[in-house]
Amino acid sequence: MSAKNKYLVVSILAIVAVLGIMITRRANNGPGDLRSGGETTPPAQTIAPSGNPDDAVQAFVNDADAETAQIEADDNSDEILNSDVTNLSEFSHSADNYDF
Amino acid sequence: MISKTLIIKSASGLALLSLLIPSLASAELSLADERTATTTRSGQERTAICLRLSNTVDQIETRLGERRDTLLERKDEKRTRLEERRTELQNKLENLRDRQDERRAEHYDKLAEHATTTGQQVALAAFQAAVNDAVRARRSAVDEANKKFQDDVGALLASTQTSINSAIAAFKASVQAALDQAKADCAAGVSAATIKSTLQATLNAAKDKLQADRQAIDGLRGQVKPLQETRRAAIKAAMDVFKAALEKAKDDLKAAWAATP
Repeated sequence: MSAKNKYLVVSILAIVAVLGIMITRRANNGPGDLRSGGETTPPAQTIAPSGNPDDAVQAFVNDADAETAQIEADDNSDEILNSDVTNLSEFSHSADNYDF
Repeated sequence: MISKTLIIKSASGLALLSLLIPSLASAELSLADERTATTTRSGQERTAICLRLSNTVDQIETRLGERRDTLLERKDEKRTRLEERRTELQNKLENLRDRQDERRAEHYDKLAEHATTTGQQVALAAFQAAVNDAVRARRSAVDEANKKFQDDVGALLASTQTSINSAIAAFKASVQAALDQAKADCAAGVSAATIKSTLQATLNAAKDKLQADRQAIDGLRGQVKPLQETRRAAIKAAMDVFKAALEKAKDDLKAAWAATP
């Protein structure tokens, strides 16, 4: 492989690596990382109506448990605060690499 | 004879001196030239740094502005998404509750098939009323816990944002002060090396301060967990009351059905 070709290959690999890092950082820090609704809901254990009071009450309790689980699973408060801090970290590099 | 020797020695000495004097004079001139050259080089370097400083100031100010805009833009997008997300989750919760209401009605219908006498039907009606009251009370407690949690998280976000804004403002002010100092040093004829080292040290100090502020802000994130725990405890308490109410309603129903043929 000639020196020119080697240079081309190395350049392309470097560009791909930089693009990969940029895309990853954007995915982690950008506004699009909030979970969308629907995919985190745990499956509810349903009990079919039988006419038995024990089954009915157990079904009502299961429904309440499913609701609680959904509320917990959908909480993403940590992510929101985390992204703010990450963005601030990016900002701290504003005065880096200055040239005198 | 003596005077002839003296004359010869004096003449030799003068000849030797005449050879040395130009060399000594030349050496003295070279040192002076070198000092002048060093001074000139230092001046040129300072001039170059001071000229570049103007560009650097523009670059840093532009970058600061752009990144601040990006940060604020992302913050606004996050807040918008957060509001949308909360609405979405509320709708999702209401849909879940609607489905559960339908299933509960199906259970009531199935129980009704077994309540053939008036006494059994009365007991079933009391059971339904007790269960419906318990469901309403639990949902109300859960909604209240959710609202408090969202309000507290909102206050925490606002507090975080205030801290972030303060950190950004302090960083910008420090960087601006460092650049202004460098400009003043240029005008005052401070050496290039001093201008450069002072500017680098001040900018590094500003960055270190921002990193420290960032870590302090990151610490605020830890306050979400206690809020989550508080909500979890409130929901669990509501759930315990709910389960106890349902157990009692069930026991009452079974007792009534057993007593009333």
